[in-house]
Amino acid sequence: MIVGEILTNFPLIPLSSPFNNGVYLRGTIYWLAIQNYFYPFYDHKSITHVDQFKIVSFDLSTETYMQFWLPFGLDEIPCFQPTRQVLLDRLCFSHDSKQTEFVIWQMKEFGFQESWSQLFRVDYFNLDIHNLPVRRGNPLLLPLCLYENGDTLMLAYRGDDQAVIYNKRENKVKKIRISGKLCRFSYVENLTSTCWN
Amino acid sequence: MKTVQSLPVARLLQNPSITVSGDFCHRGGGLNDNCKVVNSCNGLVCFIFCSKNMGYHKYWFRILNPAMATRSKAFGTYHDYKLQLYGLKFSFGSEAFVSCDHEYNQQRSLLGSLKFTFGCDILTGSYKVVEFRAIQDDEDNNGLWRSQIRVLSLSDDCWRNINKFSFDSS
Repeated sequence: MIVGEILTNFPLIPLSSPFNNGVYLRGTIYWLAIQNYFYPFYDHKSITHVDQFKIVSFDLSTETYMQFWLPFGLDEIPCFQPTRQVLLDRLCFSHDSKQTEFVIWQMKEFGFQESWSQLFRVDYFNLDIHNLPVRRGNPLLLPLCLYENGDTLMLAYRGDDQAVIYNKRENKVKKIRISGKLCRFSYVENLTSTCWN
Repeated sequence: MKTVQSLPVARLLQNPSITVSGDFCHRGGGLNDNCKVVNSCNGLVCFIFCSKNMGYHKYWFRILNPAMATRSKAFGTYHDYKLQLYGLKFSFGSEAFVSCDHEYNQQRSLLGSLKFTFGCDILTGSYKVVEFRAIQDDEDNNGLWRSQIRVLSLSDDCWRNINKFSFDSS
Protein backbone atom coordinates (compact mmCIF):
# COMPACT_ATOMS: atom_id res chain seq x y z
CA MET A 1 0.00 0.00 0.00
CA ILE A 2 1.22 3.46 -0.81
CA VAL A 3 0.37 5.85 2.00
CA GLY A 4 0.35 9.58 1.37
CA GLU A 5 3.67 11.32 1.64
CA ILE A 6 4.25 13.60 4.63
CA LEU A 7 5.04 17.17 3.64
CA THR A 8 7.46 19.00 5.85
CA ASN A 9 7.62 22.09 3.71
CA PHE A 10 4.39 22.70 1.88
CA PRO A 11 5.41 22.96 -1.80
CA LEU A 12 1.91 23.02 -3.23
CA ILE A 13 -0.62 25.79 -3.26
CA PRO A 14 -4.12 24.39 -2.99
CA LEU A 15 -6.85 25.70 -5.23
CA SER A 16 -9.12 28.05 -3.43
CA SER A 17 -11.79 28.61 -6.04
CA PRO A 18 -15.41 28.66 -4.89
CA PHE A 19 -15.63 25.06 -6.07
CA ASN A 20 -12.46 23.77 -4.52
CA ASN A 21 -12.31 24.98 -0.99
CA GLY A 22 -11.07 22.53 1.63
CA VAL A 23 -13.39 19.69 2.59
CA TYR A 24 -13.53 18.13 6.04
CA LEU A 25 -13.56 14.38 6.58
CA ARG A 26 -12.77 12.51 9.81
CA GLY A 27 -10.44 14.94 11.47
CA THR A 28 -8.69 15.98 8.26
CA ILE A 29 -9.12 18.78 5.72
CA TYR A 30 -8.45 18.03 2.06
CA TRP A 31 -7.65 20.43 -0.74
CA LEU A 32 -7.10 19.90 -4.42
CA ALA A 33 -3.80 21.39 -5.59
CA ILE A 34 -1.98 21.82 -8.89
CA GLN A 35 1.79 21.73 -8.60
CA ASN A 36 3.80 24.40 -10.43
CA TYR A 37 0.67 26.22 -11.47
CA PHE A 38 0.30 29.88 -10.66
CA TYR A 39 -2.29 31.20 -13.06
CA PRO A 40 -5.19 32.95 -11.43
CA PHE A 41 -7.70 30.88 -13.40
CA TYR A 42 -8.06 27.25 -14.30
CA ASP A 43 -6.79 26.75 -17.85
CA HIS A 44 -6.26 23.14 -18.85
CA LYS A 45 -3.87 24.13 -21.64
CA SER A 46 -1.45 25.58 -19.10
CA ILE A 47 -1.18 22.30 -17.21
CA THR A 48 1.32 20.01 -18.83
CA HIS A 49 0.92 16.76 -16.95
CA VAL A 50 -1.78 15.04 -14.87
CA ASP A 51 0.84 14.38 -12.19
CA GLN A 52 0.61 18.09 -11.34
CA PHE A 53 -2.75 17.41 -9.68
CA LYS A 54 -2.43 16.46 -6.03
CA ILE A 55 -4.63 16.13 -2.99
CA VAL A 56 -3.17 17.91 0.03
CA SER A 57 -4.42 17.00 3.47
CA PHE A 58 -4.12 18.76 6.80
CA ASP A 59 -4.62 16.72 9.96
CA LEU A 60 -6.41 18.85 12.56
CA SER A 61 -4.91 16.86 15.46
CA THR A 62 -1.25 16.74 14.47
CA GLU A 63 -1.45 19.89 12.32
CA THR A 64 0.71 18.30 9.64
CA TYR A 65 0.30 18.12 5.88
CA MET A 66 0.35 15.14 3.55
CA GLN A 67 -0.01 14.83 -0.19
CA PHE A 68 -1.75 12.16 -2.24
CA TRP A 69 -1.76 11.31 -5.88
CA LEU A 70 -4.98 11.38 -7.79
CA PRO A 71 -6.29 8.15 -9.36
CA PHE A 72 -3.85 6.60 -11.81
CA GLY A 73 -6.80 6.24 -14.18
CA LEU A 74 -6.82 10.00 -14.72
CA ASP A 75 -5.00 10.07 -18.03
CA GLU A 76 -5.60 13.52 -19.43
CA ILE A 77 -5.98 17.08 -18.17
CA PRO A 78 -9.69 17.76 -17.74
CA CYS A 79 -10.75 20.87 -19.65
CA PHE A 80 -13.27 21.77 -16.94
CA GLN A 81 -11.89 22.36 -13.47
CA PRO A 82 -11.96 19.04 -11.58
CA THR A 83 -13.30 19.05 -8.02
CA ARG A 84 -12.99 17.08 -4.81
CA GLN A 85 -15.86 16.34 -2.45
CA VAL A 86 -16.99 14.06 0.32
CA LEU A 87 -19.68 11.61 -0.74
CA LEU A 88 -20.99 8.83 1.52
CA ASP A 89 -18.31 9.67 4.07
CA ARG A 90 -15.46 9.13 1.64
CA LEU A 91 -13.14 11.45 -0.23
CA CYS A 92 -14.08 11.70 -3.91
CA PHE A 93 -12.58 13.34 -6.97
CA SER A 94 -14.63 14.18 -10.03
CA HIS A 95 -13.68 15.36 -13.50
CA ASP A 96 -14.71 15.70 -17.11
CA SER A 97 -13.40 13.11 -19.53
CA LYS A 98 -12.92 14.08 -23.17
CA GLN A 99 -15.92 16.41 -23.01
CA THR A 100 -18.18 13.41 -23.30
CA GLU A 101 -18.33 11.83 -19.85
CA PHE A 102 -18.35 12.75 -16.20
CA VAL A 103 -16.26 10.57 -13.88
CA ILE A 104 -16.24 10.28 -10.08
CA TRP A 105 -13.53 8.44 -8.16
CA GLN A 106 -13.73 7.42 -4.53
CA MET A 107 -10.85 6.79 -2.13
CA LYS A 108 -12.11 3.54 -0.63
CA GLU A 109 -9.57 3.19 2.14
CA PHE A 110 -8.98 6.31 4.07
CA GLY A 111 -5.53 7.70 3.27
CA PHE A 112 -4.49 4.99 0.82
CA GLN A 113 -4.02 6.42 -2.63
CA GLU A 114 -3.98 2.97 -4.21
CA SER A 115 -7.57 2.54 -3.17
CA TRP A 116 -9.03 5.09 -5.62
CA SER A 117 -11.81 3.35 -7.46
CA GLN A 118 -14.23 4.55 -10.06
CA LEU A 119 -17.65 5.24 -8.61
CA PHE A 120 -19.46 6.79 -11.59
CA ARG A 121 -18.70 7.15 -15.25
CA VAL A 122 -21.66 8.61 -17.05
CA ASP A 123 -22.12 10.05 -20.49
CA TYR A 124 -23.33 13.67 -20.60
CA PHE A 125 -26.02 12.44 -22.97
CA ASN A 126 -27.40 10.22 -20.19
CA LEU A 127 -27.41 13.23 -17.87
CA ASP A 128 -29.53 15.08 -20.44
CA ILE A 129 -26.70 17.56 -21.05
CA HIS A 130 -26.31 18.19 -24.76
CA ASN A 131 -24.55 21.52 -25.23
CA LEU A 132 -21.41 22.08 -23.22
CA PRO A 133 -20.61 25.68 -22.24
CA VAL A 134 -17.95 27.39 -24.34
CA ARG A 135 -16.23 28.81 -21.28
CA ARG A 136 -14.28 26.02 -19.73
CA GLY A 137 -12.60 27.30 -16.57
CA ASN A 138 -15.24 26.41 -14.01
CA PRO A 139 -16.45 22.90 -13.28
CA LEU A 140 -19.35 21.72 -15.42
CA LEU A 141 -20.94 19.59 -12.73
CA LEU A 142 -20.56 19.50 -8.96
CA PRO A 143 -21.59 16.30 -7.19
CA LEU A 144 -23.74 17.35 -4.22
CA CYS A 145 -24.72 14.08 -2.61
CA LEU A 146 -25.00 10.38 -3.15
CA TYR A 147 -27.88 8.40 -1.67
CA GLU A 148 -30.07 5.27 -2.07
CA ASN A 149 -27.16 2.87 -1.53
CA GLY A 150 -24.95 4.97 -3.72
CA ASP A 151 -27.17 4.51 -6.77
CA THR A 152 -28.52 8.03 -6.94
CA LEU A 153 -26.37 11.05 -7.43
CA MET A 154 -27.40 14.67 -7.13
CA LEU A 155 -25.29 17.16 -9.08
CA ALA A 156 -25.37 20.89 -9.60
CA TYR A 157 -25.13 21.75 -13.28
CA ARG A 158 -23.51 25.00 -14.29
CA GLY A 159 -25.33 25.53 -17.55
CA ASP A 160 -28.78 26.62 -16.53
CA ASP A 161 -29.31 26.73 -12.77
CA GLN A 162 -30.36 23.15 -12.51
CA ALA A 163 -29.72 20.31 -10.17
CA VAL A 164 -29.47 16.96 -11.91
CA ILE A 165 -30.59 13.79 -10.15
CA TYR A 166 -29.24 10.67 -11.78
CA ASN A 167 -30.05 7.08 -10.88
CA LYS A 168 -27.32 4.74 -11.98
CA ARG A 169 -29.32 1.52 -11.64
CA GLU A 170 -32.22 2.69 -13.79
CA ASN A 171 -30.13 5.09 -15.89
CA LYS A 172 -32.77 7.76 -15.30
CA VAL A 173 -32.25 11.48 -15.01
CA LYS A 174 -34.41 14.17 -13.48
CA LYS A 175 -33.72 17.89 -13.41
CA ILE A 176 -34.77 20.30 -10.69
CA ARG A 177 -34.76 24.01 -11.29
CA ILE A 178 -32.90 25.96 -8.65
CA SER A 179 -32.99 29.68 -8.15
CA GLY A 180 -29.80 31.66 -8.63
CA LYS A 181 -27.17 30.53 -6.21
CA LEU A 182 -27.00 27.01 -4.94
CA CYS A 183 -25.21 26.85 -1.64
CA ARG A 184 -24.56 23.32 -0.56
CA PHE A 185 -23.13 21.56 2.41
CA SER A 186 -23.84 18.18 3.88
CA TYR A 187 -25.43 18.20 7.28
CA VAL A 188 -26.23 15.40 9.71
CA GLU A 189 -28.29 16.14 12.81
CA ASN A 190 -26.42 15.82 16.08
CA LEU A 191 -26.83 17.01 19.66
CA THR A 192 -23.39 18.61 19.88
CA SER A 193 -23.31 21.58 22.19
CA THR A 194 -22.51 25.05 20.89
CA CYS A 195 -21.00 26.25 24.16
CA TRP A 196 -17.25 26.51 24.52
CA ASN A 197 -15.22 28.10 27.25
CA MET B 1 -22.03 13.93 22.95
CA LYS B 2 -20.69 11.83 20.11
CA THR B 3 -23.84 10.05 18.92
CA VAL B 4 -24.58 10.75 15.28
CA GLN B 5 -28.11 10.48 14.00
CA SER B 6 -28.45 9.97 10.29
CA LEU B 7 -30.81 12.18 8.35
CA PRO B 8 -32.40 10.55 5.30
CA VAL B 9 -31.85 12.51 2.12
CA ALA B 10 -35.57 12.17 1.30
CA ARG B 11 -36.30 14.29 4.36
CA LEU B 12 -33.77 16.85 3.25
CA LEU B 13 -35.43 17.06 -0.12
CA GLN B 14 -38.91 17.45 1.38
CA ASN B 15 -37.72 20.14 3.72
CA PRO B 16 -34.61 21.57 2.16
CA SER B 17 -34.28 24.89 3.93
CA ILE B 18 -33.10 25.84 7.36
CA THR B 19 -34.23 29.34 8.15
CA VAL B 20 -31.59 31.47 9.73
CA SER B 21 -33.22 34.44 11.36
CA GLY B 22 -32.43 37.97 10.28
CA ASP B 23 -31.26 38.71 13.77
CA PHE B 24 -28.69 35.97 13.49
CA CYS B 25 -27.38 37.32 10.21
CA HIS B 26 -27.42 41.01 10.91
CA ARG B 27 -26.39 41.22 14.50
CA GLY B 28 -23.62 43.77 14.55
CA GLY B 29 -25.31 45.74 11.80
CA GLY B 30 -23.83 47.60 8.88
CA LEU B 31 -24.76 47.56 5.22
CA ASN B 32 -21.63 45.71 4.20
CA ASP B 33 -22.16 42.85 6.58
CA ASN B 34 -22.15 39.42 5.05
CA CYS B 35 -22.91 36.02 6.40
CA LYS B 36 -22.20 32.69 4.78
CA VAL B 37 -22.02 29.04 5.66
CA VAL B 38 -18.46 27.75 5.93
CA ASN B 39 -19.37 24.08 6.24
CA SER B 40 -20.94 21.61 8.61
CA CYS B 41 -19.30 19.05 10.89
CA ASN B 42 -20.91 16.77 13.52
CA GLY B 43 -24.27 18.48 13.18
CA LEU B 44 -22.78 21.91 13.75
CA VAL B 45 -22.97 24.54 11.03
CA CYS B 46 -20.20 27.13 10.99
CA PHE B 47 -21.06 30.62 9.74
CA ILE B 48 -18.67 33.38 8.86
CA PHE B 49 -19.55 37.05 9.07
CA CYS B 50 -17.61 39.78 7.35
CA SER B 51 -17.78 43.53 7.46
CA LYS B 52 -15.73 45.74 5.19
CA ASN B 53 -14.44 48.87 6.84
CA MET B 54 -12.08 51.69 5.94
CA GLY B 55 -8.73 49.99 5.44
CA TYR B 56 -9.60 46.63 6.85
CA HIS B 57 -11.98 43.69 6.84
CA LYS B 58 -13.36 42.35 10.05
CA TYR B 59 -14.56 38.79 10.20
CA TRP B 60 -15.84 36.49 12.88
CA PHE B 61 -17.66 33.19 13.27
CA ARG B 62 -20.60 31.58 14.96
CA ILE B 63 -21.60 27.95 15.27
CA LEU B 64 -25.22 26.94 14.94
CA ASN B 65 -26.79 23.62 15.85
CA PRO B 66 -30.06 23.63 13.87
CA ALA B 67 -31.33 20.45 15.57
CA MET B 68 -30.92 21.98 19.01
CA ALA B 69 -31.76 25.52 17.88
CA THR B 70 -28.70 26.79 19.71
CA ARG B 71 -25.84 28.97 18.60
CA SER B 72 -22.44 29.87 19.95
CA LYS B 73 -21.24 33.30 20.84
CA ALA B 74 -19.11 35.07 18.25
CA PHE B 75 -15.52 33.85 18.11
CA GLY B 76 -12.35 34.13 16.05
CA THR B 77 -12.85 37.85 15.48
CA TYR B 78 -10.06 39.13 13.27
CA HIS B 79 -9.24 42.52 11.81
CA ASP B 80 -7.47 41.96 8.52
CA TYR B 81 -5.52 44.93 7.19
CA LYS B 82 -3.62 43.01 4.52
CA LEU B 83 -6.56 41.88 2.45
CA GLN B 84 -6.94 45.19 0.61
CA LEU B 85 -3.21 45.74 0.50
CA TYR B 86 -2.83 42.66 -1.65
CA GLY B 87 -5.99 43.38 -3.60
CA LEU B 88 -7.53 40.13 -2.42
CA LYS B 89 -11.18 39.49 -2.71
CA PHE B 90 -12.92 38.35 0.38
CA SER B 91 -14.24 35.16 -1.12
CA PHE B 92 -15.51 32.65 1.34
CA GLY B 93 -18.23 30.20 2.13
CA SER B 94 -19.40 27.03 0.49
CA GLU B 95 -19.63 26.28 -3.16
CA ALA B 96 -22.09 28.14 -5.27
CA PHE B 97 -23.01 28.22 -8.90
CA VAL B 98 -23.71 31.63 -10.29
CA SER B 99 -24.95 31.81 -13.82
CA CYS B 100 -24.58 35.56 -14.33
CA ASP B 101 -21.80 36.37 -16.76
CA HIS B 102 -20.44 39.36 -14.88
CA GLU B 103 -19.65 37.20 -11.91
CA TYR B 104 -17.93 34.64 -14.07
CA ASN B 105 -14.40 35.96 -13.76
CA GLN B 106 -14.73 36.40 -10.06
CA GLN B 107 -15.93 32.83 -9.75
CA ARG B 108 -13.05 31.45 -11.75
CA SER B 109 -10.33 32.79 -9.53
CA LEU B 110 -8.17 29.99 -8.17
CA LEU B 111 -5.81 31.94 -5.99
CA GLY B 112 -5.79 35.17 -4.09
CA SER B 113 -8.69 34.59 -1.80
CA LEU B 114 -9.33 33.58 1.75
CA LYS B 115 -10.82 30.20 2.38
CA PHE B 116 -12.08 28.69 5.60
CA THR B 117 -12.87 25.14 6.61
CA PHE B 118 -14.43 24.05 9.88
CA GLY B 119 -13.66 20.68 11.44
CA CYS B 120 -13.04 18.62 14.53
CA ASP B 121 -9.73 17.54 16.03
CA ILE B 122 -10.73 13.94 16.67
CA LEU B 123 -7.99 13.31 19.24
CA THR B 124 -9.05 16.07 21.60
CA GLY B 125 -12.63 16.62 20.42
CA SER B 126 -11.98 20.34 20.01
CA TYR B 127 -13.31 22.21 17.01
CA LYS B 128 -11.06 24.23 14.74
CA VAL B 129 -11.39 26.65 11.84
CA VAL B 130 -8.59 26.55 9.27
CA GLU B 131 -7.90 29.63 7.17
CA PHE B 132 -6.06 29.23 3.92
CA ARG B 133 -4.72 32.09 1.83
CA ALA B 134 -2.40 32.28 -1.15
CA ILE B 135 -0.88 35.65 -1.89
CA GLN B 136 1.61 36.95 -4.39
CA ASP B 137 3.99 39.15 -2.50
CA ASP B 138 5.94 41.35 -4.91
CA GLU B 139 7.76 43.47 -2.35
CA ASP B 140 9.48 40.74 -0.43
CA ASN B 141 9.63 37.81 -2.75
CA ASN B 142 9.73 39.02 -6.31
CA GLY B 143 6.51 37.47 -7.44
CA LEU B 144 6.65 34.35 -5.35
CA TRP B 145 3.36 32.90 -4.25
CA ARG B 146 3.13 32.44 -0.56
CA SER B 147 0.57 30.29 1.05
CA GLN B 148 -0.40 30.61 4.64
CA ILE B 149 -2.42 28.41 6.93
CA ARG B 150 -3.82 29.71 10.18
CA VAL B 151 -5.71 27.62 12.69
CA LEU B 152 -8.27 28.88 15.16
CA SER B 153 -9.03 26.51 18.00
CA LEU B 154 -12.38 27.09 19.63
CA SER B 155 -10.95 25.88 22.94
CA ASP B 156 -8.81 29.01 23.29
CA ASP B 157 -10.32 31.29 20.61
CA CYS B 158 -6.85 32.09 19.30
CA TRP B 159 -5.46 32.21 15.74
CA ARG B 160 -2.11 30.49 15.21
CA ASN B 161 0.11 30.49 12.12
CA ILE B 162 0.97 26.95 11.14
CA ASN B 163 3.36 27.34 8.29
CA LYS B 164 4.64 29.70 5.70
CA PHE B 165 5.67 28.12 2.50
CA SER B 166 6.71 29.59 -0.79
CA PHE B 167 7.28 28.34 -4.26
CA ASP B 168 9.08 29.83 -7.22
CA SER B 169 6.58 30.86 -9.88
CA SER B 170 9.13 31.60 -12.58
